[in-house]
Amino acid sequence: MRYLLTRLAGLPLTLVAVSLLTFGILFLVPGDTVDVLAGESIDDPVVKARIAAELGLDRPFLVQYADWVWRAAQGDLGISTSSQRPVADLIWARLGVTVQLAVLGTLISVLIGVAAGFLALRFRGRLIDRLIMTWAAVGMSIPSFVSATLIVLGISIMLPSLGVVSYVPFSRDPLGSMASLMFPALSLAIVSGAMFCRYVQGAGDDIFRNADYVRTARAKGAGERRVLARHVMPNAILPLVTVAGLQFAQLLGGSVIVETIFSLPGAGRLIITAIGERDYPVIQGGVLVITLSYVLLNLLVDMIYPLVDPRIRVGGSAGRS
Amino acid sequence: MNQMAKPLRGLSAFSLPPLLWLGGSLALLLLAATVFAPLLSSTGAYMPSAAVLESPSWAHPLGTDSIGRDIMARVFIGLRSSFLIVGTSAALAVALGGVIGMLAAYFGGPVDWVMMRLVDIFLAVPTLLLAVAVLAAMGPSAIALTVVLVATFIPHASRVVRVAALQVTAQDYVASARVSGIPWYVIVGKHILPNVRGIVFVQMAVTMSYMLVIESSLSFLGLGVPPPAPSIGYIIAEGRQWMEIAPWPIISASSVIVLLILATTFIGQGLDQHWGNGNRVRRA
Amino acid sequence: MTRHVLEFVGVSKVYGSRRSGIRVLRDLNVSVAAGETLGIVGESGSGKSTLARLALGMEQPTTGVVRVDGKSTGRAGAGVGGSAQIVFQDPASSLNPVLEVVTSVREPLTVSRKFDKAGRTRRADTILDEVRLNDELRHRIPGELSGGQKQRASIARALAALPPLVVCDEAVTALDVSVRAQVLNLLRRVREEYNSTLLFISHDLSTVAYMSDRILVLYLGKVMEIGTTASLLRDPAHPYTMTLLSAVPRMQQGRLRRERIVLGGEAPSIANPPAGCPFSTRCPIAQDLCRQQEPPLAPLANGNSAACHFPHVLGADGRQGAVA
Repeated sequence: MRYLLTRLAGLPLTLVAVSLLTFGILFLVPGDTVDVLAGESIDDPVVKARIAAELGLDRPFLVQYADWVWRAAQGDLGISTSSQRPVADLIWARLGVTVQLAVLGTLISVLIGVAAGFLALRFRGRLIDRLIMTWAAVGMSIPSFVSATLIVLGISIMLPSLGVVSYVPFSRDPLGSMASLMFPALSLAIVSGAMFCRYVQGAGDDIFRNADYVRTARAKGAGERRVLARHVMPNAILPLVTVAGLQFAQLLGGSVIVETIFSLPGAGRLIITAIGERDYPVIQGGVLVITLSYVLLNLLVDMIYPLVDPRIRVGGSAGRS
Repeated sequence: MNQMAKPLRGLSAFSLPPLLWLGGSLALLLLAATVFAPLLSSTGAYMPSAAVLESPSWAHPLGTDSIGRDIMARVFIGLRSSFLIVGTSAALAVALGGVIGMLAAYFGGPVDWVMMRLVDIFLAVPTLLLAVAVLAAMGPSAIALTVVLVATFIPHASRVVRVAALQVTAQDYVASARVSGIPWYVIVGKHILPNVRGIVFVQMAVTMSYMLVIESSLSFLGLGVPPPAPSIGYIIAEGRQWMEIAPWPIISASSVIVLLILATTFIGQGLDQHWGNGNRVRRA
Repeated sequence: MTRHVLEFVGVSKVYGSRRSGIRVLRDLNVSVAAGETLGIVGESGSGKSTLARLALGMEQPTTGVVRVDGKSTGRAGAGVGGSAQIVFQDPASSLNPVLEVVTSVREPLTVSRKFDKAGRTRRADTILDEVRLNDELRHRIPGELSGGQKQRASIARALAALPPLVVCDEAVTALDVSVRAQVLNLLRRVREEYNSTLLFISHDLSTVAYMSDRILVLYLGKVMEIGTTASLLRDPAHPYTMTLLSAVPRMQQGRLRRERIVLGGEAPSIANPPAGCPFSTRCPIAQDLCRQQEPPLAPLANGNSAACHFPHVLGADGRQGAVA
């Protein structure tokens, strides 16, 4: 409980730091800020004057920052310099895709990871175990852009008839929408799934070796399969819930890469495009939204953990048996 | 007159764990390749030629790219720059983070609290995204990249070192030194630092493996070392255009970077095993 | 006028707030004269470790003053700048595992500016000779030494700079019994050589008695009895002291053999001490007065002092004598 309160107390500070950093990015750009924001209209004094007046760039940094935060809290994240549309609208339209991808990616990773971990435990010491764990070790060392690119490569070689699978919006066709995200999610799952697999296998292995209730179950005559299914797995998977939550947050933050490769209309790709166009309001707004989600999600996971794991609540170390 | 026990006293070669051997030899192999492969290449990494998008051949063991440059040379020069940037950044991040962690552990109290709150803030934010934003703003360059990488990983390193340093600080010989009136910088340097040496090296290897992922991802997005200098991520990005007819750039660059990441991961795990897992702090 | 190397004047230590915190030590008034060895006997929870830390300046008293060699202890954690040294209980953690023993022994010498580099080497060699750690052993790292050898090294380090006060906190507890005697005798010899002042702390009365001139018996943070070793052993006043004595058959002096006194009741927690005498919950002769009123540390006929309403009452044979 105390830990939770400490974390909550740190939240405002974190939020301030994050927003300060995000806002401050604009000022890292070498050169005059007005010129930067003017973009292509860099030689047009009228446009530049408007920008300067609108954003009050002659005011002290902290005042500008406070103003920006105030507006952001009301949902106004400025105007995109390339498309002249409100940044908030642009992000909102795309956030759904990013979230969808992250959800799907996490789900598939958990499924793959748990299944693989289960198999590795079931056939401990045998070839399957070694193969799976080798994949797990290698899988964790693959950057997401590599796995995504290789998958695209694999598709183009092995299923050339598939053509370009473009994203289907969820509202139009939920199932098709999920299907269109299958490969991107898979590329994420290769890496995350490996991590979950190692987790499950590690926790399960530890339980097998050390837990008293496993010994008890065996002494009562339970077969290996039963021991595994009813005693080891539930306890090994329990902490996974929080890890999955954290991983989901991680995928949100890392969506940039996969969206770019698969040309998905997500918030991450929006940011990358904006980088190419020097559209700083969009960059700031996009980074802010995703980062905030990440921070809040992490906090949420921290709060849920005691609810999920009764051991933490009770304060003892009794496992379910 | 050697005061300090020789650093290799506990490190007889034949007792090293297999992971360390595997990772170490792999890393050395790749390192050697980054030195020699470009020299052996016929046309070098920058020279365009008419031999466009060729498959591997004797002249070009890994093929050529869309403007006829030798892939082998490009890949290994790219790896070289990854090695250098990530190696430097990891060493710096762990050194600085380690100092912060040790000081936080030794002084405890409010110093520790403040430092760890700062660390918490850094750890709360998604690193890749912020790295992207910062580099986009600053303009990519080797220096900016190093700065961003170091800043991103200092917090984690300081956390890890702090844990080990706390264990050491609790030992009686530190209390004895305090009682004797030894100044804090001598205690930190002579008692705490040597006894967290193991952790520090493991952290460097682990940090390198994470940094390699981020560095290559950043260069994939065009935010790494700027062209024409080749970098692994950039080679893969370029290669995407023609990948149906000429997948060689992607395959070779991907394999090489994954191998390097694996190597550093194995080294980290091997070192960790060697210096004892639950037994991090050296006991007399 | 005897010079006092260690003085506790009206010292108490409370962890937490003054009102509701844990009172680890109370009403401590004792001084140790130069060249004397004061033994502290107490079980775990008695406050003896806190006493050691206060003596070293590693912690500050909540009330009262602690003086080492005439100077009161400074800021918490600052130690007393070499005026006191300590020999710890755990041989494994008392020496830096990466340094050779001789380097560790030299360390305290680097603070005082009395010695230059050559002088430090000479001094370290001298003290290492005294503790019988030969030239080969002293260049080893702690991992290559036995428990007894490590403790001898710790003793050498503690004495190297000739501090006015040396604190031994369960210095031999972690050693095998056979090694224990060796180390204790070594300690006595070295103490003799340098006329050192020692604060010897242990839970084991026989060890303390072997080493000390005077003994202080501590229970739940309060002094139960204090006096010269000889008279304490021959003529104990406090029931707790008698209990401790009765547990060690060979320490029974006097003609009557004591039966082992077995304590009833529960050991009270330091966080929730009983009103009245702290020992009242377990004392075989506890009366209502004991439970209600805390007995002050009062002088006795034999020159010792005891904090008991009914000193000397618990009979020599362990049975209750007449209540005064």
